[in-house]
Amino acid sequence: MGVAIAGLTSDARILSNYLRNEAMKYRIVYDRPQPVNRAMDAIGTKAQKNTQSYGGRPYGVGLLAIGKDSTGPHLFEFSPSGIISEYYAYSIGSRSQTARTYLERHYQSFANDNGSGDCSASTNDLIIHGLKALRDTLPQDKHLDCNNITISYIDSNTDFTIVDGEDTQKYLDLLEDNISSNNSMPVDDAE
Amino acid sequence: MLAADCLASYGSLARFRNVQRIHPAGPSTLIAGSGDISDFQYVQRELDQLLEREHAIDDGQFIGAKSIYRFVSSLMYARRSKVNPLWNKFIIAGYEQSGENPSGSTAGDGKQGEAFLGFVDLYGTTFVDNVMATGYGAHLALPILRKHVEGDLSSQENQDVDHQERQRQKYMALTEQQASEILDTCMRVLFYRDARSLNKIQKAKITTSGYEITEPYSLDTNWDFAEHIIGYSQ
Repeated sequence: MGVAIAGLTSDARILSNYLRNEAMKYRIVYDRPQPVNRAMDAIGTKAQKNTQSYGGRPYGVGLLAIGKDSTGPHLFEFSPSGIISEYYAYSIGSRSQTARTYLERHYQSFANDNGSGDCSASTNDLIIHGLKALRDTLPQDKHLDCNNITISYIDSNTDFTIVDGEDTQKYLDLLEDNISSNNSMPVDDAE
Repeated sequence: MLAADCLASYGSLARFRNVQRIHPAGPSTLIAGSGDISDFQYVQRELDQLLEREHAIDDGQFIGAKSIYRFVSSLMYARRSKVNPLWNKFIIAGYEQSGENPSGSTAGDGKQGEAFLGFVDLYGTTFVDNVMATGYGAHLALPILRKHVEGDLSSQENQDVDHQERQRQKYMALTEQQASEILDTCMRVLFYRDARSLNKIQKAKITTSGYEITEPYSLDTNWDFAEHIIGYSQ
């Protein structure tokens, strides 16, 4: 399981450490990985307390969390209110609306409604969707390059992996190839 | 498959003779206990509370045999560390996931349908194996069980094969009928030889689609040899 941060990274640190602790406790008691939704409910409950007691402040950070458990892969949003939502695709942070619009238009090509957890797109396809959504948030004179992006992903064969710096170039190249083949997403067969 | 007799003793007094010593813990786990019955009932209550909490959360998560095992073994070790043990030896058997996955998911960690058999005792000692027995069974029944799952270890054909894999192949080849007969044989031997046993047993079977615990029944025995015994040794 891993998170992407939008907001006060100091508050994100507290929540991440809490998530790690909760996951470890669950694993010790049950001898299996903590289901992602339970981890999210734990920080949601924790964050809500700060919205209803005197003298404190809410956590100043939103998170997008990805993880996999016995029911497949999941994507969750956490917000300072303590509200937890699960999505097929989402974006948060400043200028996230354009990315969200892109994802709203395209998510059905990789979402699955029968809850089977089986996805019709490959991992690389999903990453390219993410990069395209990100590209839409940029002003005219800026471009995606390996210094201003970080990618992380989970798939059925891979645990949470972060791709940063030079290593992201491979995905940026895939993005260029995809755009130059007439901006159409290759329709992959089911894996 | 599991088998246990229906006896709860008070020292050497065969006090309660209709006790079920194999209990379900969720749809895919069975726990069989020997030792102190009130402590067994306490553990059952703890497991019931755990499963009730899970049921109330209602998020489609499934607590399989391995998790029940880890929970019970943590409990046993914690009590032993406070020098206030639960005086039991448990055998926990079951599956990691039921055959019909409620969400219909083929995703996940691939642990669905994996069988499990584990032991945990009053010290918190744990181990996992393909055959298991407690009490006199550990002395008398285990050799019988092992013979059926691993054959003659000293024979040449068994020398070079991986031990665990050989066991696995052998017990995978057993049918339910054969397993049932083997367990009956073991329980019969135990009734003949253990002076504190009862000829009233229950068998239980657990599969990916659920469990079944038989009604109590008696084994056929033959005591004809007793007529020819004079004195204490012959």
